[in-house]
Amino acid sequence: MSSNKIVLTSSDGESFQVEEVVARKLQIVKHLLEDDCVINEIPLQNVTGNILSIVLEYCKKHVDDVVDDDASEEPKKKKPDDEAKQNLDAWDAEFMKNIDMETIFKLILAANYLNVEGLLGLTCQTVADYIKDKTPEEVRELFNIENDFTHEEEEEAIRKENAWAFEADTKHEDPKP
Amino acid sequence: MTTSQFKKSKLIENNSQSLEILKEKNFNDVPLDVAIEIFMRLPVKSVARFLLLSKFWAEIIRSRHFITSFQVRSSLQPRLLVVFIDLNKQWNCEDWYFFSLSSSTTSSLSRVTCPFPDYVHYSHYVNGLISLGSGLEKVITNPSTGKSTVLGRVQTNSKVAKCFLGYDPVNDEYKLLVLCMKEKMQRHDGRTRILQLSSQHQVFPLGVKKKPWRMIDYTTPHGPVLNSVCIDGVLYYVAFTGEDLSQLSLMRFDLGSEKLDLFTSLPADFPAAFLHGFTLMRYKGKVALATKTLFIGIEVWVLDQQAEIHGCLKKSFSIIGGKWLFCDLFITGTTHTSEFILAPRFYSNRFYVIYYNPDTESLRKTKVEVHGGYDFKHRETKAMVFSGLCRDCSVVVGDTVSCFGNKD
Repeated sequence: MSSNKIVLTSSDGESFQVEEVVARKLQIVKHLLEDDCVINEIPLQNVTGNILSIVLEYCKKHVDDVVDDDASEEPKKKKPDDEAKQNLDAWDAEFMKNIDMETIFKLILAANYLNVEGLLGLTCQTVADYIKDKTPEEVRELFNIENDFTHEEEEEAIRKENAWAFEADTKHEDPKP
Repeated sequence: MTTSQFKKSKLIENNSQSLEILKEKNFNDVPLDVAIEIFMRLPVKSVARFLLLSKFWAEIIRSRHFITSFQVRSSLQPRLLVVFIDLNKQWNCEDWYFFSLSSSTTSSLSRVTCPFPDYVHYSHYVNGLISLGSGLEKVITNPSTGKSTVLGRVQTNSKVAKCFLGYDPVNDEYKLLVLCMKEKMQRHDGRTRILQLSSQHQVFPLGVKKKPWRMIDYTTPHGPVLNSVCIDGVLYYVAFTGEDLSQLSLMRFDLGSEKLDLFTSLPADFPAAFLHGFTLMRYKGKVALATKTLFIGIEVWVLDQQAEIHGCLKKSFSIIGGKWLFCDLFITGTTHTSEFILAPRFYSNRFYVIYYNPDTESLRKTKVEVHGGYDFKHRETKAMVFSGLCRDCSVVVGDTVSCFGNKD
């Protein structure tokens, strides 16, 4: 495969020229290219330039990732060894740390629409880590969920049954029977 | 609102004002399948708490689809159960601290107090439940949730009993095989031996279906040693058998039919003198006895429980590298990818778990980092490591017997 360049255009008119192999990380692009027609420019309606640039930054870094269901005819890339994987994981962590939560949510929507699997997993995991210690009240605020439980249903049924889930992880003192 | 203000709102995470800001920006635009992707990556505790979000969300979380996907995800990240046992002499009880170890992180799971201290500690972790306590009085715990059940004292005249916990996947039942022991003096060649042999064989089913404990048909006394291993609904353990209890054999107890029998004898060249350095475990689906050898290696005796001819194969592995680590390590079991797990037997602040892959002859290690001011860190605290820790999802569904049950 020649190192073709493809231009991706965002909904607000920003254009990004990338190597074909990077563009193919976006499954939506990969499917378009599969039909063997020569496409040089692809408009992406649902993604702003701001978000698209972040997505492409991720794709450039992960261009060598081995994908199990990769049906392309390119020679199978060597599986990254443990150290390389650790470096990638560290890069991913740093990458997410520098992005605010609002942008991460937009990235999730973009990764979902553009179908960039690794990025979807990474962003979802970041949000999961963000909400995992939050109270149900806080999560309702975040996702705008209405609480339709009555007090009995909430207290009796769920809190009691799963009391272990509501215990805080505190330091344990010397035990007494 | 400018970008820099949003960056700040992420940094002051617990500031409720920031939540107000975030709320205005319509996070509910996230489609349902994506929200589910997020929830599937949460720890069990969080998922159980979020049953409270709304009736709709409770339904989603309890749905077969969610639970199956959740289980599949967690099985992709194999984790180990690390246990630290702190003996409290003053109160004559033990504190069992459970931690989960993934490839890089240690997280605290729960803590359980066991009122029956047991100094030998052959504990069994089977399909999500672990047995604590000395032979006659047992506590069954789910380490993920910390919920326990104390079983009634075994009815017997014996003072000592050996118990093996097993899980029957066909009937979705946990059972305890209880071997009540007695001592017998034996004179042999002018020397006296004290034999420990089983006098009563009982089975104790656990769970909702309150079946009573009962005696099983097998009555031949034998001397069980070491731990047991449960493979596909069958419990295996090693015992001294025969008239004078001198023949080492592998015993087999089928949890479904509750039939106990002598499966096969161990080969004559098995080093019985070093028996107590061995651990019974599952190796590539087969029953195996493994030990660490003197010159930094692993010796495994594999018994194929499914083979027509009951043979025993001995394999030896030499571990290259990591010599300095090796001294305090012992084999505790295998991972589902057939790596050997080696871990220390006591807590220290340099507690490493080593994974040895015999096929690729490679080693990797993970440090167990226990954060927090636990008292057990300053004492000689026993440690145990088990493989097969799964995120127990059925507790989320709110089963009545939420202590048990790890439905597939």
